[in-house]
Amino acid sequence: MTRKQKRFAVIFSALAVLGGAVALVLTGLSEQVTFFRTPTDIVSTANASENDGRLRLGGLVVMGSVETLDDAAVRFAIEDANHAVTVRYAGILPDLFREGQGIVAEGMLQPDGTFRADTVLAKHDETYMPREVADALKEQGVWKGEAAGDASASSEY
Amino acid sequence: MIVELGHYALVLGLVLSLAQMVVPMIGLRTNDARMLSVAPSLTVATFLVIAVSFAALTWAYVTSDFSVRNVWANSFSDKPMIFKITGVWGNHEGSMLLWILTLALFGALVAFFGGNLPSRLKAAVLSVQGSVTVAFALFILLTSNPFERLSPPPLEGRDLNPILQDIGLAIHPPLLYLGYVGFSICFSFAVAALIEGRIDAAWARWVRPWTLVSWVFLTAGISMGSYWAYYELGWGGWWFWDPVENASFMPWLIGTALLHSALVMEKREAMKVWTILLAILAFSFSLLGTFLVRSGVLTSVHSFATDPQRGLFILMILVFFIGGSLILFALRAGTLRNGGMFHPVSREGALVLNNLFLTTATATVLVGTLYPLLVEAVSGEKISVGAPYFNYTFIPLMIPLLMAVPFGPLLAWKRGNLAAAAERLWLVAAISLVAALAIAWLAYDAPVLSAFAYALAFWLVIGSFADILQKAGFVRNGWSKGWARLRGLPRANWGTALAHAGLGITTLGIVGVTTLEDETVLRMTPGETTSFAGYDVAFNSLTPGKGPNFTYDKGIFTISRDGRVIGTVEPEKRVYVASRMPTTEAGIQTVGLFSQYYLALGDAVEGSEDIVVRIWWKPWVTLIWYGTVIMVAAGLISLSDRRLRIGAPVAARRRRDEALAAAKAEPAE
Amino acid sequence: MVFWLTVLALTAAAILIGFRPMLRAAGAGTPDRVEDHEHDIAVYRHQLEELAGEEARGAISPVEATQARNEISRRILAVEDRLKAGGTASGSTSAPRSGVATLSLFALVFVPGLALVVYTGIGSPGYEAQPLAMRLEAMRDATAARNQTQDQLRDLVVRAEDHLRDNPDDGRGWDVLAPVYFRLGEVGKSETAYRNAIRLLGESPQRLSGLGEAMVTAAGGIVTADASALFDRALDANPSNARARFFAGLADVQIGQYADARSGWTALAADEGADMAWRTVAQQSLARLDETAPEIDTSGRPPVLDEATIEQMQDMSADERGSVIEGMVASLDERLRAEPDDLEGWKRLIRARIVLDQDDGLRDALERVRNAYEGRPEQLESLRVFAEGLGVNVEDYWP
Repeated sequence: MTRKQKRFAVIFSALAVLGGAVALVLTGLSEQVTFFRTPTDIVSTANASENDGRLRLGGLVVMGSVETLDDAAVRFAIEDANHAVTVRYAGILPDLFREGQGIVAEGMLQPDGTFRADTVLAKHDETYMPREVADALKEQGVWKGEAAGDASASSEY
Repeated sequence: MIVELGHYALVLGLVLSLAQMVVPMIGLRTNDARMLSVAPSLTVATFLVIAVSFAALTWAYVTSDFSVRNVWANSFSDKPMIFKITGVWGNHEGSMLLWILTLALFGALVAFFGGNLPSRLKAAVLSVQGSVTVAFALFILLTSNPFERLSPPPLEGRDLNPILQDIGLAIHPPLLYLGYVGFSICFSFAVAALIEGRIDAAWARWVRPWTLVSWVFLTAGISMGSYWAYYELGWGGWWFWDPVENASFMPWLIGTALLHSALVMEKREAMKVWTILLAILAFSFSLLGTFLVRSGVLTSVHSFATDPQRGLFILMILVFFIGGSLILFALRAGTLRNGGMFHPVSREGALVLNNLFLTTATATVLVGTLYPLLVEAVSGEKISVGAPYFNYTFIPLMIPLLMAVPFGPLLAWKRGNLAAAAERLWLVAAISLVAALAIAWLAYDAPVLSAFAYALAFWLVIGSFADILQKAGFVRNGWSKGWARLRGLPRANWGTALAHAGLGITTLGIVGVTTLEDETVLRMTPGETTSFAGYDVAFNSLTPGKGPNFTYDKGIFTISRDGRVIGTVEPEKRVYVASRMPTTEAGIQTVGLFSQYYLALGDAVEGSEDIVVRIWWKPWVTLIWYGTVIMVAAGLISLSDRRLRIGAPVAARRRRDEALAAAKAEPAE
Repeated sequence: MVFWLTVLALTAAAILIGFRPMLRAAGAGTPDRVEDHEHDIAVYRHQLEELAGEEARGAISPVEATQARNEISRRILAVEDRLKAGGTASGSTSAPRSGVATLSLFALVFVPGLALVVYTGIGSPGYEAQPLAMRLEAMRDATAARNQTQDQLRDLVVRAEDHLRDNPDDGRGWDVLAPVYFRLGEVGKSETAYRNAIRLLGESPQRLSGLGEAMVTAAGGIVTADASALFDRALDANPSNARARFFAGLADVQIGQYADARSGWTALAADEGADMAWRTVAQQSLARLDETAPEIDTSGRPPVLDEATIEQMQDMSADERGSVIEGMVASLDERLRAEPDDLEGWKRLIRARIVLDQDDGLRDALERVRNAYEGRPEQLESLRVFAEGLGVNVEDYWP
């Protein structure tokens, strides 16, 4: 191989790998991401296809709505200022899952309008409000945020 | 007095690091040996006063001095002593203090071990290192001072977040920081080299041990963190592709690439520009990681309350160092002449391929990590990019890389013979394939497609030793001579083989647990026995109790197979007294050597004695961490290679004359 | 003093370690460039050795090996060239004297000066460390000392009581005895003594505020309406009475008027004519108020109890604590009568009534809130949901 061919081979293989990676990233970002929705988003969407695929549903757990089903799954409702959506989750709820607390459930919306979650996130911090939930509730004017939040209470890992 | 002394020592640390930054810089401009000569001693002094400061904060934690706000917010008088100490870095302020302590420590190590560094280069390196220390010391004093006092002191503290009261915390963050911050040395070397304009094989030889040290610590830290999350969070997962995890994984990927490209630069003077860039990038990713963790701009399962103001400060540090070094790089990169030529199929070519895949993979992780921020900024739509995306993009990039790993060490420098390498590896391929098919068909009824994944893992493990075996040449030389040659191999060769094999073992663990894992969630009554994944689990009892600073409900389960008891696990649900925060302690029983049975308690079912139990069967899961332990050991073996410890100047002077004589004897083309 | 000496020692040690090489006379001059290049040569030599090994093993072809050797040799020659060039260039550099001056400036002025200036700006130099064990010991010592003085006081009290039994109309006697009772913790007797003193000698700001203090303490730290009236009277007579000013502030805190409390206490703490003890207490209470109360004065926050009160509450029996809570609930109830447009306040009141199992109180509260929010169904709905969360169906109360 001449020097030119060598260089060509190296550049070509590099471009091939990069091209492949770019293709993966682009399809990955269009198909494999999870959109965040509030109960109001879900109830009031005119176009049902917007709620296809994996979703993150965020809001406050409705008081008194949590019940354990016979097959050890849990059913509860997530609400925001206007609407509530029933969630079914098979698994162990996070330690800080409580009624009235802001949480995020990840899963798929079922045809009957209930939500089937495979992951439930509630953070390991008493004062925690998932960022998306806080933002959504703020927009709806429900939640004012922790005015006297103590910055020194932060911790890691 | 001790607390205030610690505060003063921190201020003194800032001022000394400022001197460490400025004085050698002036010395470089005026070429004044006296000013250059104080760089190492100033670095040591900076380290010592920051160590005093850290010791003072530790003392405040140990004695429960709640007049220190940081202690009050994160400690509790009844907390076990070990967690009082680990609590020092279990919070933002303290962990940043640990960060600059590590930063100063690495500077001091360069000052100490860098006896044979040219004095100008050493002064430049330490000056750049000093500038990083200045930035973070300012950050601590301005936004996160751990020595803030409370008057009057409260009687009791607010306790450390209970999830952090674990021995994992004692080890994981310091290791991770040693890795993160270690790359600051590579960064300082890169910037110093750009300033001084000398970038050659010798430079690569100086940088490589530091890269290796950082890589070893980062590997250990990530692995430790993964295992900690696995048993402490109670979710049974070992990797979540969470932003905070990605933040430590990206420097690791770039650091791995740097390790390989620095090798090419040292041996063949090729890939110079690229290596410098990687050295800058490795630390930039460490800074980015710190920013992501500290600012809370991304939702993560591992970080907690955050403060945007601090995020902004770190962002400024980030922009200054990354931007500054990249501008310097752009100005100087054009002046670098590349060295050794090589053919695409060669050791160099293989290492280029390695770098190509590793950096591309890093880029996909980076895109996935930052994409939610971008989308939210552009359209306001909130999205999250989770495991599906990362698995979809990262794994396809890793498969060809892993397949290529055994070839690399077999290829010759400059021009390799692919056919010859393949010839040596066909036996490895055959063994891997047979072993994989055996596993897929005989032992388990897993999907046949997964056989490919097993084959890949075995190929890596066995293939990693092909180079060593070939060098020993048992067939050619017979057993005894082969053994002798094997023992005579440089440790670096062993390091390479072991590190690659460790990677293979981790891969095997990942493949095993991903394809064969099983889980169930069920309600159990005390006395009940259930059968799962071929084992019987008996729920004996649920008993309440009291720990030092928490109360708990402990479930006792016996795991048996065919009537033979394998072990008892005791998962707990705890509630910590001070913070009223509940946590879950998983019960884990290792079955055989590598598989685990993992139990976590859920909530009690109201109106009955039942409790929800989640059980996982995790075959081969511990291989994931054993593999990383092997990688760490391999890194340490390489580090102990005498060739990395550069000969003393006296010996070098003697050799120089010989080398010069030899060089003159060679016809210059 | 010891602290500053230690600071000085630490600074001196750090500077000595940091700038030690400048003391070495041999350090002067320009860097030794010869040494720098020895390392390079060693590296290249190593490359040559490795190349030989690889060639012997057949890991690199002889042709390639020769090429590589040439490349390395060229680099070694380049190093030598640079060495020669550098050797002549290094002679012409600036005088080392300027280096010494700059270094001395850094070591003797810049480092210690900046460190001390920054530290005094942000540190708390005089503040001793407060290890918990030491603090507990100090508290024990203080208790012991207090017990001793109390024993002496008790002797006095016994004698004074004898005297007053014979002369019950000795107002001076009651006046002296009342604060002594209070210090001994006999709050009830103190209250009586103050009342007797006021009856016999007439009102004075001292007596009024003392009586008020005794009543507040008896109520577990709650400034009751009666006590509040006493402080107001005391302040009418003497606006600078420190005790009355402090308690007036506490009363403000307990009804959620943080701004008033803050301005009152700030004035008291800054008043150089006032009793030092009360100024200190006001200062500490202010600090706690800043910790616990919101920046903006929002009503509807729980009353702030100062630390002393909380400590007292821990020593109380369940009954006593109950009465304190009742007191708090009553003051909340009262405040909501005055300012009914406070949804959060109502929720707290409703929860308190439910928790205390006071059905009448609950009924009353629900009726009042329904009147207060008539025509505002959103707020009523939110109350309904809130009550439901606590297991109460408001329809049972709203016929």
